[in-house]
Amino acid sequence: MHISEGVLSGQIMAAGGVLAIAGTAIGLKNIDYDKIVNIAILSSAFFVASLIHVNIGPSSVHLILNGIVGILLGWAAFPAILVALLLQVVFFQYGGLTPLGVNTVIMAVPAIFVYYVFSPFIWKSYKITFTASFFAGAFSVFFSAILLGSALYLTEKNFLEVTILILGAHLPVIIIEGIITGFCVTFFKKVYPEILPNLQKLE
Amino acid sequence: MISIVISGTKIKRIALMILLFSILLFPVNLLAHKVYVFAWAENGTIFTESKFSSSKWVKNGKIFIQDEKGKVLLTGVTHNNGTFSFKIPENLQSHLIIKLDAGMGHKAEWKLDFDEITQANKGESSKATAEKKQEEKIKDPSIVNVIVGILIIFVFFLFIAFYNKKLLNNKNDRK
Repeated sequence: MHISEGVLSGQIMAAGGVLAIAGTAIGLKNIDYDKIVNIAILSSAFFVASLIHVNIGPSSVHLILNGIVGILLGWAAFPAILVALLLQVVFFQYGGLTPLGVNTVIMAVPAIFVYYVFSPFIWKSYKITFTASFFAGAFSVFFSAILLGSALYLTEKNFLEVTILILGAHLPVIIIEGIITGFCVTFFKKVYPEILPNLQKLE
Repeated sequence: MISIVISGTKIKRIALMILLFSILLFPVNLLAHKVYVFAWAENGTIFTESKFSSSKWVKNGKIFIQDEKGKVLLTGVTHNNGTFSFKIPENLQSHLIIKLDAGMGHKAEWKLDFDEITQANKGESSKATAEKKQEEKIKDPSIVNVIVGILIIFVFFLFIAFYNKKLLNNKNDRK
């Protein structure tokens, strides 16, 4: 789900860059000192996730993990995703430097959205935790696909067609991300609840 | 004083790191969804092949053939096996740029030198040259790239932690 160089117009890339800088600034300002290591670990997981391919029938998809990064980190997801995407450009040549801001927004905005919508539910029973995390993982990819379609609309000019194509291609990822996020968040709640946001609500 | 006592939180953090880094041990292909197009000239025809780095051919990808000034000479669509070919345009005086739009934000391009095109008009093939250039272009991510990337992420966030702590200490000193 990386947009390559030369796809988007200058205005869209500039707007994406400004939004990414603003989001990253808010994220860095709100970083909890005690959670820095967790942010680095999740940023590393996001960096590596795009290399993990899952073969489903004739197609091959890769993990994104912006849902789990979002639900666990909140606004800190912005710098975590920006750094990971930048390193993916440098080391793997995915995407590009000029659309980096747009790519960051496409991944990080859904991450923050699922943080606000689903993170309050992770403190309920384990079943609700799993369900909320599943939807956080699935919805973040779904929302990213919509944002990707919106960004491409300005060049392709057929939003619905492009978005349906993107959603169709990412349907397996939406389900897999949901399951992985569900299992991971439930697992963290059992063994390492400190990584979850608003730990005081547990006490 | 250096404390050698490892708290429960630290142990859990180490366990989490081991869990996440164990992802690296999965038998996966270190490949993702970068897209490539490459082209060669042979017997008056230019052949193109388009594929994703996951070795899947690009089906129905849009191909644009441009001259050195960026003028689009012809367009086409890749077949199911990622190929698209066309006759060398008459009176061609420059190299060609073959651009691929595989959809969903994936684009790639290939420059076909004028020398290769003129040799093809004499009945020679530039496939071997193109394949060599293609091999140089496609560099799969290595485990070293992954490890260095992760180290950079940790150094970056440790720097942020250091900076944040310094700011916090300055605030406390003022109070």
